Amino acid sequence: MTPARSQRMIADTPEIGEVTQALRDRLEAIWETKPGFVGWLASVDHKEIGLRYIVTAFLLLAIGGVEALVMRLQLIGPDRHLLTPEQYNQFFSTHGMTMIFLYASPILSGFSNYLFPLFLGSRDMAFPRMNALSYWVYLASALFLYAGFVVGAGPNDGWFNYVPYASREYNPGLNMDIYALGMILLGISTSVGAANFIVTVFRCRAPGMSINRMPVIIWGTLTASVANLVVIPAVSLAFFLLWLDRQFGTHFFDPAGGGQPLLWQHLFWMFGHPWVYAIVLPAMGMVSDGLPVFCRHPLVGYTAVALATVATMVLGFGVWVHHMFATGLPGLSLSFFSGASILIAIPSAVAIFAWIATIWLGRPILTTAFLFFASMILLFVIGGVSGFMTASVPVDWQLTDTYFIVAHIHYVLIGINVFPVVGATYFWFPKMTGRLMDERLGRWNFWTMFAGFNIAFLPMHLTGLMGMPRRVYTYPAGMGFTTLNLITTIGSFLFAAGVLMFFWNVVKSWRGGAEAGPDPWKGPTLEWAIPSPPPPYNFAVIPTIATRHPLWEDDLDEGRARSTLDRGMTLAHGKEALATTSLDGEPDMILKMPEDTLAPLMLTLALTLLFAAMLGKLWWLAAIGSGAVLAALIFWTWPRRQLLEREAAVHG
Amino acid sequence: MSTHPAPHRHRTSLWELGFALTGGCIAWGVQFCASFAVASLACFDAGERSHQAERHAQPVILWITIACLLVALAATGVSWLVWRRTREEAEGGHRELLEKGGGRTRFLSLWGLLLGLGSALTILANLIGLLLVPPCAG
Repeated sequence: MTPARSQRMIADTPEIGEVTQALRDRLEAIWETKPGFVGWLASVDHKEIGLRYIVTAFLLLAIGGVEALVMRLQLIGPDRHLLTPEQYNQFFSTHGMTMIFLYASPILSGFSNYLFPLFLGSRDMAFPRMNALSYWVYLASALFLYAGFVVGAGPNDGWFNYVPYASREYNPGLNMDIYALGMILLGISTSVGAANFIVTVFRCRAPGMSINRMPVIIWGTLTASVANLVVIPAVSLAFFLLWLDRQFGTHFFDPAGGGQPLLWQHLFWMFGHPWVYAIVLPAMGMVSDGLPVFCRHPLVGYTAVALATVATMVLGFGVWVHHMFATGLPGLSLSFFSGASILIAIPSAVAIFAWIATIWLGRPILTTAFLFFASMILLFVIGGVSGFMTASVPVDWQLTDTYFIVAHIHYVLIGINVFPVVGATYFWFPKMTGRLMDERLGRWNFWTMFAGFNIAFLPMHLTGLMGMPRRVYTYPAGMGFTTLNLITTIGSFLFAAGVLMFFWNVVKSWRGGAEAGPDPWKGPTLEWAIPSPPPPYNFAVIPTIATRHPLWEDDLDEGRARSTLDRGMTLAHGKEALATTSLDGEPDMILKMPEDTLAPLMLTLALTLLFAAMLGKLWWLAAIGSGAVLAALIFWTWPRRQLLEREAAVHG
Repeated sequence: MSTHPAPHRHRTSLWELGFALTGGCIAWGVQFCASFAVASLACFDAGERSHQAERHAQPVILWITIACLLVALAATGVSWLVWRRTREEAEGGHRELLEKGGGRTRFLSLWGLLLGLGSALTILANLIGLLLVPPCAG
């Protein structure tokens, strides 16, 4: 940054003040969501949107879990016929779709939406209306995708939906069309949300919060968001081309017409594998930020862990073909992807060693949140080692499409997503609701989930090694699979009981948990400096940050610099937020934030109408839907005087 | 010690720091994608799968690898130079930096150093495949 730039001041110099009740009242009136149903629909408050994401995603987790239990009942013994093969196809496909696309990523978006401005010392996300749009479109796409399942036309070709099984010739119903269009719709939501996270990180941090002072979860979500923006176009394109092949007779994936079935796999996995990292890196960030609080020790190797997060994602772009080792691609080509898939273990291991060292050097307090965070380390190692094994081409040839891979993906997705997310709920629930979750029930919850999960999925590695293929609706007796499948089913029901305890604890604690106060865990980061639950404006004055642990500065005694939390910019002339510079967090501009509006919901309804019309090939309705989208966009972008930013000016 | 998070920011430029941070990763990405494309194409003769690679494929991959390796090493070198100029930016040496991340400019220069070096090693790892794996096996 040039000296001239660094001397730039804000033209309308903001008032500097201390936190007073009068200021709080004034900000409350400016920022609060209007009461009533319309006010609820129009809210652009990041905390409201974050909670909606979290509730919706947990609801979908429960639905996906019920689907899994039905499948486990089908597989509890040989030659069972609870489900027909066709129903089983829809169950495993919808289960995968739900857990991977409708739960694992949106739940992280929910936590990040709620927590980002609180971590960063900001009043809101950079684009509050886009934030609302991302949630409404997510909800619409979930309903769109599930509409097919409810009427018996859910996806039935697995969550990665290979052609030619997905082509019209072999799959003539609406199943694949609903899946294809629903996924494109969901891609809009994810892209919009990702862009919002990226701009928020780079522009909406508190003064002094340079990028080397950001919590690790910010690095995780930032990295995942960049990846999403890069790879979602690939999968949206793939689904769009598939829809064209199915409905308009194009031949993108049809070899008879000069197309390439492998093109689907490339486009899908170019997205699919980075997506796996996108749904674990923010969760790893939760552990990196949560675990040290219960160890009463800063995270060991912060710089290395943050870098490892980024490095994992960079390498994650170069591993997609390890899902295609058995497709007959030339050996040398495979070796490049095998190498990247093996090397990616190095940055992953950096985080693991950092967590272990943090526990080792700290004084751990065994809360439920700590148990979930710490157990994730073990599950990560198991899932990581089985992934490392399949990075080897010859090993993968033996294991591909067996239950070993199913076990691996569940250790990754449950171990590195569900366990940290449940831990994060125990950790941040007091901030969100002002109430503590029940610790006694929490321990029952943890041990039931931990035992159930491992009873279900550890033996599944053996089931795979013995050769049981995935995605078969039943198996004959005498294959050696019976006992292992019985154990897995028992474990999965135990795990489900644990999840049920978790939901019960949330409801029970929300209604009558102990008062939490602003900082029940004595945390180091900014969210613990404000009341629980946070007021609509988050921070009465904008804090100024001097270290990475603003609330631990006296305890750590890391230097002379101290953060200022109770005196700062008041920004109380309307709905205002502060924009800061990307690298060093220097005050740059006062942003006028938008009021609550129905525009995001209107745009979502218009988009949903358009996609439903495309599904039915009702072109007159599609024309109406397109017009509605245009009208909603015009309404959204119509210039409003109150949204003009104040220009910056140069002072001497 | 200054309270600014990056008191030594003027000792480098955004371009220099940008190259230091991204040069290695971009070099690896180019090497990876180009080698994959060349290695795959070499096993197809007029659209038909062949098990004998075209002769020119391996030298082309080798040259791509060498060029990209040099870029990654250059990014590492630039990172080293920036690190030398900014390593006193905050209290403590490199161990303090690894633990606490103090000093934004030196934080990024250390990232550049590790990313550049890591990228160079990853590029070199791909050479193992070039030397040991039959190009069109499988």
